[in-house]
Amino acid sequence: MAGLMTVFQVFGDVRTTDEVVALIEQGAAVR
Amino acid sequence: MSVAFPSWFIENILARRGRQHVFDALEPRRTALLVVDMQNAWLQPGAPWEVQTARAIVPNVNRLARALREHGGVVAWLQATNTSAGPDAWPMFFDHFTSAANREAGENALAPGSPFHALYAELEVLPQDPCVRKRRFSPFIAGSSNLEALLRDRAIDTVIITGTRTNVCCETSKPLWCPTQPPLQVSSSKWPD
Repeated sequence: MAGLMTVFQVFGDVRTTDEVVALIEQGAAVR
Repeated sequence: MSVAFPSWFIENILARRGRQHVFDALEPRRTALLVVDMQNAWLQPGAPWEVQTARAIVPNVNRLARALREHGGVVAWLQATNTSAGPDAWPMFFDHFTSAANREAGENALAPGSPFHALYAELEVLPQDPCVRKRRFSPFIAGSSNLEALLRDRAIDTVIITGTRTNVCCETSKPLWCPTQPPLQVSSSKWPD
């Protein structure tokens, strides 16, 4: 993941699948 | 497939930003999952550019797609598409950065209609999901694809990027025009260092 890390440290965010699924579900829950 | 980030990476981010993550929330209805190049050309055993780790992330990709669809988001499947001539040709790359044998294999594999051009069969691609052909590593370079227009038409302002390879097509698939949120990347796969 070295390439991913290099760029996303500057622009973007790196998350695990578990974290992204949680963000999706949390986003839906706050509507 | 679980992913853990090494401590040096997290420490570097903390030193730069003061916090590990930039955004702590997203609106699923304004979010698109961009699944990059999960085609047989990379995923099928023995394929021209086989990336073994790409097969390992298929369950994660399907899980993300199900979660986002369920809450109103868009799942877009990107397909690298190149031919030896015509609008899908990419002579700058194939003329200078591939051997003759790799050029022939590559152009044959990524031509529409080739079995290698198709998305990997274990991916859960639903009829409502847009499948987007792209002519360059990045779908957002002018003339590469219609992805930007598709996302703008659907009022998408956040993207989640996954697929293969991490440090080539996934990295270059970051849409820098997103007005409110930067790209979010998960569980990509690359060839071993």
